[in-house]
Amino acid sequence: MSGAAGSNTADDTAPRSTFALIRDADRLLDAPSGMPGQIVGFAIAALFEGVCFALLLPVLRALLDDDPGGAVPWILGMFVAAAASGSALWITENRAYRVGVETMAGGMMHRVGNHAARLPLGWFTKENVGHLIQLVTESTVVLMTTPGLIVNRLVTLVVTPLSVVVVVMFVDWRMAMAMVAFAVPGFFAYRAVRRVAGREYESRATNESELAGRIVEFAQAQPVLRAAGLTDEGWVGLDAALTEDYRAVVHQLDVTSRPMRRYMVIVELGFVAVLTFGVLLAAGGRIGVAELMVVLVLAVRFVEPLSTLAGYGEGVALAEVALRRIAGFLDVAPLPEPLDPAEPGHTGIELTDVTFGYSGEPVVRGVDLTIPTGSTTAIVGPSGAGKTTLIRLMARAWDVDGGDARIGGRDVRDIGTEGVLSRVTTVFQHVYLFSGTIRDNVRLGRPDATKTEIEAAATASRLDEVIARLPDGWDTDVGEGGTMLSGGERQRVSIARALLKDAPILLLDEMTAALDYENEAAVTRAIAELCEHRTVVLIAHRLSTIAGANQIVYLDAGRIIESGSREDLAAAGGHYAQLMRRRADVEGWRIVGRRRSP
Amino acid sequence: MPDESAVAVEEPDALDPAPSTEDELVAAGALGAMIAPVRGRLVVASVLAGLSVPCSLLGFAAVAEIGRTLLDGGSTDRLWTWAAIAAVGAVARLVFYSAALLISHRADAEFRRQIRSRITHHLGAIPLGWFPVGGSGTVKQAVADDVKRMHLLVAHLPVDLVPAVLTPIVGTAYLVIVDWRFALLLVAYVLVAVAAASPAMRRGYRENVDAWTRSMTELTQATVELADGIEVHKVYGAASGASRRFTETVDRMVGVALRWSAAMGRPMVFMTTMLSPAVLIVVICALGAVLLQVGWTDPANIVAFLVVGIGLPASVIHIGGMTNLIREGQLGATHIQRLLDVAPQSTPAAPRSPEHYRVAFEGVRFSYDGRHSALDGIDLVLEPGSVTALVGPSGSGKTTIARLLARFWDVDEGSVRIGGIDVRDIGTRELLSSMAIVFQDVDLLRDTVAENIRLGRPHSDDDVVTAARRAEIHDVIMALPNGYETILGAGEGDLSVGERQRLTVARALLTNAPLLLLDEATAHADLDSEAEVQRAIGRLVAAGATTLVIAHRLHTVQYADQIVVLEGGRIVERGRHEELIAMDGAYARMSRAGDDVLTADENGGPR
Repeated sequence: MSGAAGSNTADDTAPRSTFALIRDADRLLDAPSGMPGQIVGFAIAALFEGVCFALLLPVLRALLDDDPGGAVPWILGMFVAAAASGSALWITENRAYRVGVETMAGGMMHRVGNHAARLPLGWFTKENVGHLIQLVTESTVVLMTTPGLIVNRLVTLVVTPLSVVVVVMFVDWRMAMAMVAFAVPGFFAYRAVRRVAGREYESRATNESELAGRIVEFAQAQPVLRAAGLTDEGWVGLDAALTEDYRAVVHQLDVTSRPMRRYMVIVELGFVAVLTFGVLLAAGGRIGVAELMVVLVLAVRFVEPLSTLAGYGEGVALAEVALRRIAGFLDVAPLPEPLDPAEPGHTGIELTDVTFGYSGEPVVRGVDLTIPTGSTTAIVGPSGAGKTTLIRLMARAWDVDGGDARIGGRDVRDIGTEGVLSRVTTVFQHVYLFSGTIRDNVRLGRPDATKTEIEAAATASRLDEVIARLPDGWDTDVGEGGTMLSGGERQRVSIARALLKDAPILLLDEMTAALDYENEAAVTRAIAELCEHRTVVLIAHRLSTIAGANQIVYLDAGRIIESGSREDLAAAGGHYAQLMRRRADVEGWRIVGRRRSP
Repeated sequence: MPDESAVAVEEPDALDPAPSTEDELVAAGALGAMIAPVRGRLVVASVLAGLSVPCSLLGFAAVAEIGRTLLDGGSTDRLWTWAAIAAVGAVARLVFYSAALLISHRADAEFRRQIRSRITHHLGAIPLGWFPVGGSGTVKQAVADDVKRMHLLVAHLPVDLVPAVLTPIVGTAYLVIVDWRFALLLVAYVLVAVAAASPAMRRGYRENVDAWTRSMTELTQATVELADGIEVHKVYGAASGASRRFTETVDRMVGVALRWSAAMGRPMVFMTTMLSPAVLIVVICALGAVLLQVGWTDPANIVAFLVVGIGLPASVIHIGGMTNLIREGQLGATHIQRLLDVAPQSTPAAPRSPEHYRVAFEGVRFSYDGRHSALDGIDLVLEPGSVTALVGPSGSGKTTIARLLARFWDVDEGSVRIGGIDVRDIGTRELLSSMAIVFQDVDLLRDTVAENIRLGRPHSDDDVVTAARRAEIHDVIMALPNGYETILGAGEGDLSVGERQRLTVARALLTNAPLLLLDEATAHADLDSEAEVQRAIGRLVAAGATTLVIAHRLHTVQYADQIVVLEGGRIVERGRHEELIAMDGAYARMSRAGDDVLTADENGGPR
């Protein structure tokens, strides 16, 4: 969680009111969180606890008078009040689990999950996916304990002191004033402790991870360091960093313990002052023994709980961070979907003056592009040119900022995400397979496909070779995300899946990573089959792939610099021709031995 | 209500995924041994914190004694004496506790420094091969999570745990002195409340912890699938809303958590309710009334019990939360100990220096895990100045051979010799500085660009620039904010993968090492600078070092002096390209599989 807290500014860690926390929870759940009920529950408990405290006066009067019989009715009254307080606590705390687990954690998880499903595909970057996973598995889980924590915080910070003061007010108003005189600065001192502790928690987490990073770096660079004989020196450098960190930690701890000391001084001296004041009154005969004893017994109640607060201050801070992060996620807007989706007339794609950026700076600028039905278009250009963004706009991974993207003459926004994706298949570098068998994953392409159709797809995608090799064949478990298969094998499954879906449009991002020889050849052939009879847009790296395209688009810095047929572009001798020469060089590269000449 | 705060301390831990059984095998004594350097300070801090406990009791006792004095009609002086005692107690407590805090803070900081220092010193001595196979992850966990686990214990032990344990003991002792019968009855009540709840809590934990751990793992997997698989989901026409697997997993997790909180939470709440101030006040008043009736106590004692007795159970419950701290600390110590137990690599007592650089693998056998052999009888000679290429499917042992030459690991059988001298007899620094290693993963130091190329060797700036030019990285460096003085990895200047690789090549060019270990895939990791990386590597190979290439694309090594074909840790074929093609064996087969692609490429592109 430290990483999550790390992004907050100091102001964010300032204690917020519990009610704000509850309001946030209600808003995020879009339903009552059940937390107000918690407050009612503990208010009742507190009320009866106050009655108990108040009844202490007549009880003590009788007992100190050595009259136990006289105390019995009052003790019975106390018993009733304590039972009521205990029952209210019992119900409220048990309810806290239910509210926490079911409503807060479970409810939030469902909210987050459903919202994720509605977000545009473009949102799911590696970074965002990491956030989402953390959101579900950490932030929402934190909320399980929040209702319980909040009840405790309110009881300790507000209710007990309040009921004590109110009771004392009735017993002896002067003593009550003396208590209040120390309670108010004590409260503020406590807030200072919380604030500083929050800041310290954060900056220390940052320092710690920084230092840990240095050590991990030191571990990873071992071959280099040892080769250079730098390990001894490296230790010196790192030892210096460790010593420096030691000094910083000591300093930090000392600084942050100051408000804590201040708070302790106020509490301790406050108690002594109240006690002294009581003795002063008693010595002058201006307060009864029982009254003084009740006040002092309650004063101890005042002092004690505050020393145990620190434990869950952090818990509440974590809950605040969690709620803020969930709120941030739920604020991400999904794409608007049409009520009456349009039907595209054909499967050609047209981009007109398309501009798009993730935030601020456009990644795609004024792109005009027409891709006729059944043709193949290769997009080439340096990395960062916007190639991936461009083809993903065609699948409505986002909506364009300016201009429009059309399929079959209809705007993709009018066709709707579902309509677009039913006509499009994507085969990207990173292949995701669902946990399950190879058969399940291929069948996903068309759930009602016959056995023959599935096997045909496997043959065309060269997946049959993989299946023949595996002991469990079609029933091989691919593992979470498909990790039990190699990169090339996953590619083949994804191609089989795509063949089965048989969508008229194919968007393809050619693999850049080196596969082993056999996989590479197989995948290349499988993709060639997949491309047949479809409208294909692909990001191409290999000369052979580019060569097969009807139209080539050279993209740089989000603009189309050159486009046309291979022959035209080669003849023009521009960027494309240069790129091709470079690719030819790269693909013709050889490592040459000493006693050999090529 | 301190009682309830303890619930808060317990809960986050109680709901954390429990440590696996393997982690439960806590190394006995690891914790104690690791804390040893700061033990003295921890003891002093604990004693001081311990002394603060009776001091705070003085104030409470004063209340009771003032009551007694007033009831007995004692002198005003006596009242003031007790008020003074309370004041002294408060001041003493402040002094003791603050001192304890201060000392424990220093002990904590010192502990962190020492443990990290020990870890880093050890890292410098263990075999290099340990790092790529999960070692880095272990280091990360040790220096981040495990040190934190232990430091929390060190920081909290004196100032929190000691008072938590001592408070009920000293408080009970005081009450026993005041009125032993009353004290026994009260303690009996507390014990009954605790005993009634704790077996159920323990059972609740035992019965649900595994289900909880499982459901959290499932939740993580389902979330990963929801996020990573969203595109597949949408493209293949899945329903709207979160996937069924996710929804079901969440519901299952909620069910498990509810069962757990019912099993553990109910007895917990029962206990805290029975020990809450409201209930305890009644219990003490009732007990007091009864004892007063039978004449076993006197009124002033009741005040003492009200003052001290009500707070008594709070710290007992508090200890429950603390035991988690100790368990976590032991866990951290165990992990760190495991890291420190990784055997360091032997260093030669009398290091020898090779006179020439002919490399010979003789009957080399090696296994990573002691069961499955990675290399099985490798005989291989790299003639000085020659280029040898290792080819074969992934897992055939190509990388292992290269690593054994650099002594990432030591062979199980046979020997690896450079110039006739076993690599185990060559000093670490001499061995590693005799070879340039250009692999896909690049280790950059958080230092200047120049220093990253120079690596502490006494080369002039001109030499560094020359090497950088030949590695085709000079222009990139000059475009950085501070040129060669730019600090890498500190947000000042970032290099792309291909640029980092060329920096490594510059390092190697500068060293002019007689041996070169090269992973051919290095050239293909970054499309944009593939050509530059290739040229840089070409110059490096041409510099004349004895070269060992791990090859992924066959055609790139067809002009090597020697091609070695590996399968399952054995050499199946060796020779030159033409010879191997003529043999029509494994190499020829692989070469044909890749040929189609290559032919298409060469025909397709304009030259």
